Amino acid sequence: MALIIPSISNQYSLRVPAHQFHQGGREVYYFALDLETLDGLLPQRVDDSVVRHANRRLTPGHARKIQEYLGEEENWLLGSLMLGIAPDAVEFKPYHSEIGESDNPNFGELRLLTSGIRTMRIFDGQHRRRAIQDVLVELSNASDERSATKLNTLRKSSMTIILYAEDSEETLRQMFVDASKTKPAEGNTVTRFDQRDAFNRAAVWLAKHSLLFNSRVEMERSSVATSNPNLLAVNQLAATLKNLDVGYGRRVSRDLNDLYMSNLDGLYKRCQVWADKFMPAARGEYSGLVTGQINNSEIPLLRSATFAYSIIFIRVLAGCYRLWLDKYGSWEPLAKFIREASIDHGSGHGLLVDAGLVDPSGTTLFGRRQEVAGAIDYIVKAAEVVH
Amino acid sequence: MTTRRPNRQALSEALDTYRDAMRPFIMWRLRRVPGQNIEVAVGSALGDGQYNRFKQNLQSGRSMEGSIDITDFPNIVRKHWRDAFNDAFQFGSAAVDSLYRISEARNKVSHPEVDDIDLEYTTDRLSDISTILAEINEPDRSRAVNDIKDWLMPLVTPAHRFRQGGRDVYAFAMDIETLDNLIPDRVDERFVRDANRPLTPIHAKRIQKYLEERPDWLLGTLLLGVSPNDVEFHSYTEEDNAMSAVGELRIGESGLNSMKMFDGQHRRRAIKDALRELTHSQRHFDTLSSLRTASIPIMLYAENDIDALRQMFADASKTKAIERNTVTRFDLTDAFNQAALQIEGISDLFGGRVEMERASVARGSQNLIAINQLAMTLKTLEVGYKGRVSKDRNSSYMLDLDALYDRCWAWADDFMPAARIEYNDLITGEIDNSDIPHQRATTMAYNAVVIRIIAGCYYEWTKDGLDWKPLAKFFRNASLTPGGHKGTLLVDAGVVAPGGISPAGQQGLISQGIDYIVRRAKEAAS
Repeated sequence: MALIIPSISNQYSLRVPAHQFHQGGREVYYFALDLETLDGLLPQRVDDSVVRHANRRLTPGHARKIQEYLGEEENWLLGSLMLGIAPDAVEFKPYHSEIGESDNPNFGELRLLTSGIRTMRIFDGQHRRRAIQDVLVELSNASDERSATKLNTLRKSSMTIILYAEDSEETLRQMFVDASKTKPAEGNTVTRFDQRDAFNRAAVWLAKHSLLFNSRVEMERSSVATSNPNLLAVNQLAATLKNLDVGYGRRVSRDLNDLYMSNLDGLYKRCQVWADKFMPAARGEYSGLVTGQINNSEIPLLRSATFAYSIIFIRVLAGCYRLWLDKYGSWEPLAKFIREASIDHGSGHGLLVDAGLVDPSGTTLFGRRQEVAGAIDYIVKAAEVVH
Repeated sequence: MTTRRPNRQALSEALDTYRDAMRPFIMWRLRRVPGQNIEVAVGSALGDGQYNRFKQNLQSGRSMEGSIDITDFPNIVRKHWRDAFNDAFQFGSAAVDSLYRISEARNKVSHPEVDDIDLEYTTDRLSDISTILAEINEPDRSRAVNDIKDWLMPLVTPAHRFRQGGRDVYAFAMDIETLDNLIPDRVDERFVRDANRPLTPIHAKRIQKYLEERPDWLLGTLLLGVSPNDVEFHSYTEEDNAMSAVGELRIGESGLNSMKMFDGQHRRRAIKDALRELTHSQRHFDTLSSLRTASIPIMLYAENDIDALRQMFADASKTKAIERNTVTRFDLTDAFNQAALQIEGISDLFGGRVEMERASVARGSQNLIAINQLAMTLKTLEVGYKGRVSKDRNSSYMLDLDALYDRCWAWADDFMPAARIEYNDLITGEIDNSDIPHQRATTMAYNAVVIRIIAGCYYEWTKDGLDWKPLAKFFRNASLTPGGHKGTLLVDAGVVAPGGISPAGQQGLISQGIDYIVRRAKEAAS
């Protein structure tokens, strides 16, 4: 009778120290893998464009963004990947005190059986998984010194894996949905926290240093209510400053952002000229705030009389300013034109009604992109006629 | 014990315990030194300065035992090692080294600097003291010193240490009860504070309910930052004597207090509230027990700069929102997701005509509707366009899914073909799926919003028990041709602009449009 001897060297695809615990009635294993091992071990999507197993469609653009983040940022961070595996594809042996100082039954060696490795499924993290593969390949193919150093660092870096002893596809899908029920970061939080964006920095800087905006920017919420004594929220200010420097409806690419980041002082200065020179020159409502003739506490009341304290109007002014400067280089005639225009509520006519930004009897400006873009064009053309 | 220098205070207490145990032990052992009384034996071991102090102590009336200082212990033990102490210490002369280190610690405690004594130094000396006390057969005192160490080092756990983005990171799991005791919780929730956005109580409440009500819950990794100076990590040694990437992570009281959670504050709050609520409820003992023994994974970054932690939160939150079609396909706790999947499988009208891979239908698509839009439409069919399905109501539907399927199926395969020839012809095969993209130019029946409007009308019509046939007849006779003007149904209803080719999609307009269509249909029926 012939014996079948299992190949010992291939019996396990991975042996790694791990924490074992319970969560929602399941066995869970938590461990860290260096990116190179991870890339060699974890399953990779082949068919991107359909919902498959426990995965949604893979969006290459999103994976690409993570790849760039890993490749370009030094202080990157990636959260845990979540995977499921057949319960009988894992073995766990607690360490004993003679190996380490720990005598913790929930800390030991996790072994993934080669025979069961195909049951492993990523249910949260497929974009990160793809990004890791692509960044390692990209850096391996590059021949410059920076890429070689970066590749070396990345290979030695690690990330954490949460491996659930669960292989029911339906259950893993539910787990993905449950794990995805996060609360998106609010716009104001992103603006205050994400300092890799030049316009976030400019908004935070202007909120501190501008005569017009200092202490008139809402930092704790992502929009301002009618009763709010602030002019706008910090994320709205960041978006407005983007309109100011690149024009309304234009995007700031990653490369362009890098350029801005390399000369933040220049950006701050341009924003400050708009905020503290153009804006007070363009409207009495703003010069009144700067000189102290109007108190912040009056802003809520004044909102019922003028559109000057509407965020949409402020964005329109930023868009007009950019368009005008591109053509004429000097903002004074535009400021004079806007100063003389009527922007009061419900007057039945006036600049903003003519620009299609509000109904004749309306008290709220239209905020849709095409209406704002149309209004900017209209106002600049009207100012040109006067100019 | 709250103090500005917790490490010094801990060491001071342990040194007192050590001194009180060592003095009688030394006295007892020195009796073995041949030809010397204790005073001579002590004196012969000390240098001039120490000896003078010892004599002064005696002359001032102190006992022999009380005249020996902690700093004298190592010299006495070393001098009389062979005669008196050799057999007392299991680890041999290494004990003398420990005694010297403890003496040095006494000097540090007696001459405090501005900052507290280093945490790692403190815990190492506490270990020395505890070991010596165990060796001289003082197990209770040894345990007392270990208790001091535990107090000083409330978190001691095995952990992985690795690098990520130029930082040291520690990964470990923590059971929920320990987590609730050790990990900081927000107090002032309404503001951006440290590395945290404002806390939204309702979001925390949702997670709390999820933990309490779903036995198969899962929670991802909590992300925290800590000052690199506040953590100790002692690598384990591998079999080949290499230092392992896993080891013992120790964090002292001050480290715990300075920890900043930058991702997970809502989960943290939910855990606290769930434990508190379940503790007060007698009926949920099993849930509470199961929750207490469950654990959460933690990633602890050796980073305490608030700006850096804020950036890390911003980076970590750049996730891709889950697409609605994926939610519908994956989230089977929602009765209408289940119904949509069922109808897609069994309905003559919708079978094979539902977009599963995208959350909307392009004009060039051969599908009528996306799976998530179908789920929404079936909800409209059951509770009306403006109706909400609460958690409790969803639970009721889940209890009788077959009845829900039957109602949805009747609408799809009885009412819809009766209401529009386009649907009828799809079922009979007179219109092929491949014709749908072209036919969109001539009818809005293949528009997902229009299908939902029809479902809304069906609900309003049938909710009081009316037979749906007159409504179907009314729809059958109406024009759904794109580009229509006043006089065509959807333009008159205000859901399509004159000359428009599709509904605008604004909720208020659609709701009013449904009311208008139902009113007109009732007029026509009467």
